[in-house]
Amino acid sequence: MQPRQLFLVWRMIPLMGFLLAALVVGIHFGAVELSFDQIRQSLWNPSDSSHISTILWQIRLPRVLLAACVGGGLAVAGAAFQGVFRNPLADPFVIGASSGAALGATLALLCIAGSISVITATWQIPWLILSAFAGAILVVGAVFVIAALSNAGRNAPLLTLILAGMALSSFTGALVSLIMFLNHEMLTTIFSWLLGSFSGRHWNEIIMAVPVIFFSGGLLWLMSRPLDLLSFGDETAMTLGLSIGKFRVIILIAATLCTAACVAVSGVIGFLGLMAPHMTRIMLGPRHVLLIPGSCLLGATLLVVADTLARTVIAPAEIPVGIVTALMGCPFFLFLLVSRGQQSK
Amino acid sequence: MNQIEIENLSCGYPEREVLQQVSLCVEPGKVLVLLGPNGSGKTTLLRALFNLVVVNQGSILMEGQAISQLSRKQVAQKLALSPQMEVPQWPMTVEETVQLGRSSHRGWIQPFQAEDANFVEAALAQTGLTELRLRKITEISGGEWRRTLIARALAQQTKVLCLDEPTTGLDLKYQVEVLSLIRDLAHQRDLTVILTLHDLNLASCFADQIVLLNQGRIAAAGTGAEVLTEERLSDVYQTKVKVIPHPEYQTPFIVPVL
Repeated sequence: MQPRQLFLVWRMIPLMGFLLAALVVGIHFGAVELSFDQIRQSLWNPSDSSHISTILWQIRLPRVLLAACVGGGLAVAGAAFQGVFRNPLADPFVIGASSGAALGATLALLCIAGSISVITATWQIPWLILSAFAGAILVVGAVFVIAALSNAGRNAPLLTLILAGMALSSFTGALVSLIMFLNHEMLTTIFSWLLGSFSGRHWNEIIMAVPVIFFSGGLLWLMSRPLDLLSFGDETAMTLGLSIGKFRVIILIAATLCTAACVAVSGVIGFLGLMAPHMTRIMLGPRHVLLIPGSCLLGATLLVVADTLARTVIAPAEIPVGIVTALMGCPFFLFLLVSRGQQSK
Repeated sequence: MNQIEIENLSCGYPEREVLQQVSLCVEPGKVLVLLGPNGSGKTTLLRALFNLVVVNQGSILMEGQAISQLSRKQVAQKLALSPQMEVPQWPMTVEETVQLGRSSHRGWIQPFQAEDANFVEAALAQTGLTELRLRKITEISGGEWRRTLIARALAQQTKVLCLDEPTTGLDLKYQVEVLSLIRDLAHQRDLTVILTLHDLNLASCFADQIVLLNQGRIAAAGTGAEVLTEERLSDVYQTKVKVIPHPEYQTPFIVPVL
């Protein structure tokens, strides 16, 4: 490894530190505060059946780990979508993954029972997750097909993709609203799912979502150089040797899988996938080889912090974490933008 | 042997054919300048070399091999293009931008090596960018960005170097420096250089061979003295010109007559 590359790894270390700190703080806070000694002891003795150990292993740990994985996954997908669309406004939901997942989850909730108990009954959770996942994949797949059909021989596929995504998102969103309107006893259930939450999530969700997030996130990291090249524009990427069609499809599919897995287990958590890559770009620069792992670590940190706030601020009640990410993230993000503008003057 | 042979090429866009029946040979170690009024097909001819336009008829051979049969990566290992226009999107540094010119030699995953660093270093030095290497490409001047694009193409280390309007936006010093550099590379390292220019006098000074395009066809090809005649230029550019000998080199020097 060249010294330069070692230096790059070195720049990840602060972000890793932030994440570790956030995880510990996330485990610490809750209905019962766990001291750091208790956390350390319980972590080393997973078989211990004490009260503390149960809280740690059954409630806190799965929840913060899931929040970290979803945060990382959304941030990586956001970075990839921004890269492949060459658009700083793109986020993980830009081509319809969120509305698709919402429709899938809504239909699942409707089919299973139509009552609040549905979310707590363990056997139904995989159903809900798979349904949301399938909805996201189906809607984004439909967007691809429409873009490909409308696009034969033209050379503005990115724009068509975004426009088709917007159109289909509105359509799917309208369907979800219609279902909510016709079944208003389910309004709260569906609505709280749409706002995103980690309430009551356990190892089940981790087992289902994390392999997909890791696989697709890893694949996107391997696509770092193609993403860098795509930033020069399609033609330059081609003259520098990139078969852009093939790589674009791989990147879009991987980013969609990653988003779908995140949405399926946590609902629609907005703003994080837009914000985390931009903050990382300010810290580490725009090269994707750094940007993708950096966004992953930062996104994970931010979502663990947001979730900790979501469940402690008005305890014992909980705020949906999607509300926290938008409420806290937006002003902070705007502050960053303004202060960066001041610096460069 | 000719490096590039273009035979009876007709190409362009799905709705509109831009070039018609163009035939052309380019030898290694020579600088070929494409001239012609706006819309005459100069850029289209360059783009055709990179499989970026629809070819209706004819063929382009590089070292006897049809370019249309090569993969993007193989083309990028043989030909480099410095484009006429490109908009910097993310704030990469100048050095990172030039480094990405090495991509086709390294594939999509393998990290860049010491060899790549050497080529990048050389390209930065040749274009006078060594001092600016850590500047962000979103914060440099138009001329510096132009030189970055040229450096990126140089770092590709290809046998054929294509430059679309490499002097646009450069001040006189860099116009002369860039063209001298390109000519030296062609002559010393036996590179094939194809570039488009708008400035007839720079073309006259630096070209070994000139191809004058007019409305998608070749109006004339040959040395500067053969191609740049008063009558032909007045006709192609629809502007009256006088051609006098250059005070130093005796090459044709073109002045418009108002």
